[in-house]
Order: sequence, then structure tokens, then C-alpha cells
Amino acid sequence: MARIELTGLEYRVGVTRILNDVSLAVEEGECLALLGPSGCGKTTTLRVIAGFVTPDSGDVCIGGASVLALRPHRRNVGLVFQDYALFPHLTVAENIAYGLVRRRVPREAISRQVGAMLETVRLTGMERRRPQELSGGQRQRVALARALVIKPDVLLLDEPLGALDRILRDQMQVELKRIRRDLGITTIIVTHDQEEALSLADRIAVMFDGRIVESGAPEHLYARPETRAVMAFLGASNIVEGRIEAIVGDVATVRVGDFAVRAGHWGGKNAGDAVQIGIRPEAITIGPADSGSVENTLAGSVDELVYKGPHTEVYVRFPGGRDMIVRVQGRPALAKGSVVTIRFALEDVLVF
Amino acid sequence: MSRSDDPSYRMAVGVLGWFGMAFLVFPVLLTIVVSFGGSVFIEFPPQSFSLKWYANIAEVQQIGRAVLISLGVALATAAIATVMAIPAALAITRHDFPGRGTLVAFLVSPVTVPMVAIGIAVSQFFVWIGGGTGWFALLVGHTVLVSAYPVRTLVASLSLSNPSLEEAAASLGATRWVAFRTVVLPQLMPGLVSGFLFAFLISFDNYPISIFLVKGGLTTMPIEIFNYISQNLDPTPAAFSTIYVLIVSAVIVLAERRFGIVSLSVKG
Repeated sequence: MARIELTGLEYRVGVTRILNDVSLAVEEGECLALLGPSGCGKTTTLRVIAGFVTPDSGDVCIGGASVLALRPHRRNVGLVFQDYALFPHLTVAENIAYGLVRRRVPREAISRQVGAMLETVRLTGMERRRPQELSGGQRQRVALARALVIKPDVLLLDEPLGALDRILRDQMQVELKRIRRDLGITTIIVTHDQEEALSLADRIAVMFDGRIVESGAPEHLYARPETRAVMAFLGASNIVEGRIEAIVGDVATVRVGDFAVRAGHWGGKNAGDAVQIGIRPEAITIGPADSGSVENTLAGSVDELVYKGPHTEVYVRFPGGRDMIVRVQGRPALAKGSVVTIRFALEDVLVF
Repeated sequence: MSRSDDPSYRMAVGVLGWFGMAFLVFPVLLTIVVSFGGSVFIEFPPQSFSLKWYANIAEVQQIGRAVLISLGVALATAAIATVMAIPAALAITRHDFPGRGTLVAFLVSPVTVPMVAIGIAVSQFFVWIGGGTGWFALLVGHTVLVSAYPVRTLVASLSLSNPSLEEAAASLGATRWVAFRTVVLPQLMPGLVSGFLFAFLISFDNYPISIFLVKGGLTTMPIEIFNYISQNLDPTPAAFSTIYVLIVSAVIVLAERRFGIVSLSVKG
């Protein structure tokens, strides 16, 4: 268990800047998600920490000491690969024992630790199986056990749940949280799945084009992203272009086509600035105008209803052709074409 | 419906397949039947049956000597070619380097260069360096001939194996050498075994190259068999071939059971 600190990592391949001044600290016992689209440099960052990629400049410290000069096998880092990379010619027990054998742990201690680890990941009784004979979820557990049994300073997970189907993914998410909490190990999870990041991490760092654009607690990043890109990446959102008409007191008025949208905060923008505003679909409710409220109300017509089980996505079209997605619990009694009023609080309007 | 589901298509492919199999297997079956013939001449179908030609193999001493020489040359050739193939295959699959395409083409080329040309080239080379002919020349000539095969099977093996296994081993504390020994090498076993077998078999019954490199008293099995056939008409060579076919088949079956080499040679 140790603190990880990345400072000013730079890495280029040819003229392509893979990592662009990546700096990051993960506190002892913290779980950080590096979230970003594929090709954003998140996996490269992980590989730099593990020692498979040497950055052009910058430093990697684990537990206060630079590990940049250490070869991968000396770094004491627990790594779970996206494809698990289990050794196909070894049994489950031999896979888990691999790191202990390399550390010349005595045989009895190895079998004791492997047994305990199998219990932790709930695979007792599977020790003699080969990886090919396991389901995806079981392989994932073996990979996790193999990485954890060496008592690494940090745990690095590369798209840990990406290869699993939905139901298994939900189960493993809970499992992963439990195991991590029990061990209290400093963890970095690399993922392109915002749901995975939001549910597993204590903190999320969003990466685009080799650069960390924003980081913060999941609920903060989701509710109050500072950039449009982060908002769009972290889930469904309505983002439209507008211009700030006036800022009066605590309220900024943004002109969007025929409408004036009032926002409770405006990210340091000034009157007259061209801006984008973003509203989460679940922050919007459908209902008649509530006279005298401080909310925004807009009238439009229902263009499409997409039923998703727990909720329905209502596509509301406004004069001028703009669409907004509204998320409504259950299945609303709305017909296509019916005229509705939507409303949303000033607080829920984000201005970029 | 895809084309492979079409019954007439399947039937046509099936008939062609079995025809091809028959075409390949028929001469072997013929040889086996003929080897049990009782006449001093090769005849088909045999008028009488006998095992005397099997007993006669032992009598023809030059064949026995030549088999031992061929075995030695083929084992050494296969071992050298297989060991050399490991770094070559690693370089080809794991690294991109200038001339990689050329190298791959070159390594595959003995398959397309006529063997007689290799035989002449190697014998000329040994004349030129004053080495003459003999065991060492055979070894070199055969190694040149077979070197490509283990490379191909190993490249197939390596491209099937997952490169992140090595990194997984490294992250668990294995040095590069330990990772190679404990993780990469076991993945390569099918490629090593099938490459070795290929190399061994091609060397063992090579005639066109060996004929340029042998010298009096040091001949190889195929050359002695051929000499025997040109001087005798009895089915001893058929009996010898039958034993040879049985042994090779047994080895291939065992290797397939243990290492699953067939799928690999198809892919390679």
C-alpha cells in the first residue's frame, strides 16, 4: 500500500504525443479511475507505472520513491490485464502462485497464501482447473488473485470489467469493491466506461488526447463538470449553443434560439460570450408550468419515446428544430406529438 | 444460407477431399501391400504372401548403415534449425525492423528454390572452401534446406500466443529470461515440436541435396534405397518404406496428442 505520484509525464511516438504533461497523485488506499475514450493515453499511463513504457520525461513515484529506473519485475505492482493474460499451461493455483514462486516464498507458505487468496476471490475448489476451463468472471477473479497475492504496493486494473457481459459486470463490480475495501490497496482503474468509473472509483481523472482534463469525486464530476467534453463523456446530456445575454445578480440569461435559459452559475463567462449550456436528462421534468417558480420552463412537443425499463427517454422537440432528451421514471402517459412543458432548475444548467 | 450450407457444394467439396486423400494415400497402401509379397519381383496383386523382405532389411547392411547416418544428420539438422528458429521467430513476430518482409520471404524461399540448386550451391561452396563432401557438408546442406520450416511453425505458435503473458510474468517478478523460460517457451512447444519434426523428416528422406554431398562409404538412407532399387527388383525397399511410414505416423500421432501440432502446421 502506497501513494502513487505521477509528475509531468511526456511520451511521444514519432510526432504523436501520447502523453502530454500527465500529473496525478493517488493517495494511499484510494481508488482512482482513469477515464477516457480509447487512444486517449490511459493505458499508456498504466504501462508507464508498470514499467513497460519508459516516458520521455516526467517521474513515477510509488511510496515516495521514484521507480522509473526499476525494471517491471522489480516494481512490485499488481497488474490485471484487460484480457487477463492468465498462463494457459498452468492451473489456477499455479497461476496465482507464479509471483510467489518468483519471490522464492517457501512451498508451504505459497499453498497457504494461494488458498487464502482463492477464498478472497471465492474460487475455492477451482485450484486444479486450467484457465480455458473457466468462465469469463472466474478468469477475472484468478487474474485479480494472481495480482493481489504478491501483496503489491499498488493495484493497476486495465478495463477490468470490459470483457464481461452485463450481469456479470454488475456482480464483479460489487465484488471488486468488497475485495478492494478489505485490502485497502491503492488502486488505479483504467476504463472507457463511465459507469464503471463512477461506481468503482473514489476519484475520477478524465483523459482526452494524452492529457488529464479534469479530475474529482465521481458525483462532483458528474454533476458539475467544468468542460463540455467531460459532461458529454460522463453520460447522456443535452448540450446546446447559446450566448449570454445578461448577468443579473445570481442569474445569467443565455439566449438559445427563441428561448432564454436562466443559469445559476456561468463558469466565469461574461455577458455577450458565445457559450454552450448542458443539462442532464434526469435533471429535467415534464409537467405544466409552475407559475412564479425560479425554474426554467420551455414548451415543446414529444418527438419520440424510447422505453428503457426503469425509465423512458422522451425526445422533446422545440420550435426551430432543437431536441432535448428528458429522462422520466417508468413509462409516462405521453403520446407522440403531444405538447408538453419541461422545466429544470437554474442550478442544473451548466455553462461552458 | 451461406455457401458451405449448400448440400451440393458440400458434396462436391467432400468428393474432392476424399479423392485428394485417396490420391495421396493410395501409393502408400500399394507399397504396404507389395511389401508382403512372396515373389522375388515386385508384383501387384501379390500371388503369395511372406514376411521375408522384412527379414531381408537386416541383411542389406548398407541400408542399415545409411539409416544410422541419416538419423544422425537429421537429428542434428533438426536440432540446429529449431534452435536457430527461436530467435528468428521472436524477431519476426515481436519486432518490426527494416528488411523484415525480405527476411520472411527469404526464410520461406528454400521451399521454392529447387533442391538441386541448393545441392549444387552447397557442394560448390564446400569445394570452394576446400571442405569437400561428407557428414559436415550434409549437415550444412540439410540445415540450409530445412531452416525455414521451424521458423514458420514457431511464427505460427508465437502469433497465437498472447504477448501480454510475458508482461504479466514481468509484473509478477519474473526477469526476461525467467519469463521466457516459464511462460513463452511452454507456449512455443507445439511450434517447436512440429518444426523439429518437419525439419527432421525433410532432412531424413532428402535425396536431391544429399546426392551432391555424400561420398563413398558415407551415404544416406534415401540414396542407399535408391541404389538398391536400381540394382534389385525385390520388395525389400517396400518393406523398409512400410516400417518407415508406420514409425513416422506413430510419432506424428503421439506429437499431436501431446502438443496439438496439426492445427499449427495448417495455420503455418
